[in-house]
Amino acid sequence: MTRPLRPLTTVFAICLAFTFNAANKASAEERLRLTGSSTVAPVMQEITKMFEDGRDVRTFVETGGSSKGINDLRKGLSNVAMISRALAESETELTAHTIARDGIAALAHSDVPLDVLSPDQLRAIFTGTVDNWSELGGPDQAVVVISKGEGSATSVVFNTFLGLTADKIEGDIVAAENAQMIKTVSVTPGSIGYVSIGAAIVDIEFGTPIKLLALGDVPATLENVANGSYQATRPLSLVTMGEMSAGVADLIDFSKSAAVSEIITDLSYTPVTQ
Amino acid sequence: MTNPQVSAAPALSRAHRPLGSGVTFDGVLRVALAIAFGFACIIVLVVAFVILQGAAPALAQISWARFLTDPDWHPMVEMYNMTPMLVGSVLTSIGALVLATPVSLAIAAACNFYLNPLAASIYRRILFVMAAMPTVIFGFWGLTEVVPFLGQIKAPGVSLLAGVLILALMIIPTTALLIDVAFSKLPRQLLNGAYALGASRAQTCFTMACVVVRRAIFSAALLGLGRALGETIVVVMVTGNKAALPTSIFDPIRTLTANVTLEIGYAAPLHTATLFLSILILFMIATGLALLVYKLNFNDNTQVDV
Repeated sequence: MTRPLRPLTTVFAICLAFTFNAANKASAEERLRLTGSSTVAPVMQEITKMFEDGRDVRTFVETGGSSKGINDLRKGLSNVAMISRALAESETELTAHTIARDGIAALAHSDVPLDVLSPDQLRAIFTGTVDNWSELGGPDQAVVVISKGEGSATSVVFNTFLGLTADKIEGDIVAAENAQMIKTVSVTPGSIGYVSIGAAIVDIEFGTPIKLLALGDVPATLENVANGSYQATRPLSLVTMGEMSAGVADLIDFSKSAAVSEIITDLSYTPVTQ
Repeated sequence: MTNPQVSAAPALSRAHRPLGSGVTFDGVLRVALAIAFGFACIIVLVVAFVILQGAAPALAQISWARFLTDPDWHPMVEMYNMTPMLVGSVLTSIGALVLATPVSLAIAAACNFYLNPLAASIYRRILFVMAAMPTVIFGFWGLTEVVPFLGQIKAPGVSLLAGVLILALMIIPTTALLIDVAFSKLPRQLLNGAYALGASRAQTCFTMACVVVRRAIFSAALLGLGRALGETIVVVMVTGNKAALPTSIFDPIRTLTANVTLEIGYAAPLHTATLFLSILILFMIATGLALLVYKLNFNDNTQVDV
């Protein structure tokens, strides 16, 4: 019984040796790990590419949702968390550094006859009070409500804006992330969901049969998010815990600077520097 | 099986020739296998431990009954009814199994008894390609083609039925190939005997061959069931993921796997623990299935030795 164990320990020892070796090699440069929101991650991937240029820093950007980002930061598994919502009351020991804003808008299949919905109408649709477009002046067609996974930053921002809690939402379909939300709305006639404006605009330009609905009188456009007239917006932020290291402080200053505003605008978000 | 005295007799066989300083090929192989065996055991135990550890807070803080009796699944407001997901997982995978097994059997029968050898080998190659296809392709095809089609019959399209159809399509290549292998291993004399008695192809295939390989068919079906049960990306894309009990096959459902994928990224600690519990339930079902397959293959005295 004990004989096979000896080779086993040898293999472990070799693995360990490799790990230490890798750690030693890397210690010459600073390594920053960023985890969190799938909305912020693509932005930070571009920004860190520019940031690494000419600096002795290696960055690793990983996605997995805002809450995962916060958890990793608290456990010391990352240096910076990326979040696409405001910090919650239970997270006040952390510091958020907002780098951009993103609008969230109701998204409908192109065949939905309405272009404008008031917050009250949205509330009626998403709580299931209205389940046919005819009740809002459209044709006799069932409303298919698409929501996002419970706890997702987009859904928290959208629900909070409407003053609803998760259990009040009567959805027919739940989408896992933005791309699936857009795809599902585009193949489901009479459907309505919600999505980051930035994510939807690219697909609309591409010809996907979807449209963003105006909120009250304000069309869901990047201009209206930038000038503050569009109300349902959320901050995209980097979050740190306690004292920042020089490298982290440098990255945060860089991410808020005018140097990266083109990256942010290209990805259809609104830089805070504007 | 083989007589050890006979196999030990040729003293110069390669396995027993010393490689130097008393090390034999057999000895090296024995150690290598021991290591592989040890790792396999450790990995399964570590996985079980991590899942149990992850689910522990949920089991400690929420009573068992609440996972069945809470009004709904809304972890953000502390409602944890998991029945819809359990029912969703069972319905989609059983549905896929019921649909896929007869089709797989028909394909395997065609390859062995009806098609000429060239056509059968082309058919098998196509099945191999389909079995190796990443499941996300099935999911995407389902979402863009099957779902809108079902939506025309009854809105919203994403549904239990869509999940069953795509999953069945996904597991057919695997189960068909497994049954095909069992058929092709049938002893020649059995087949010749059947034909000599004047049995038609259909009689040979369905009244003789199917009976002889029935255990293989059953374990192929169970392996397909296990695959359908564990599939995630396909069901997330085509079943709608609504955490409610379906009233018809056109209603959206959510499976245990989809539940984890949808929410783990956003979950607060206790919510995460309940998702680990979803995984624990799946792990137990999958282990049960694997043990059943094992029992069928190795504890069977009735089967003709093929």
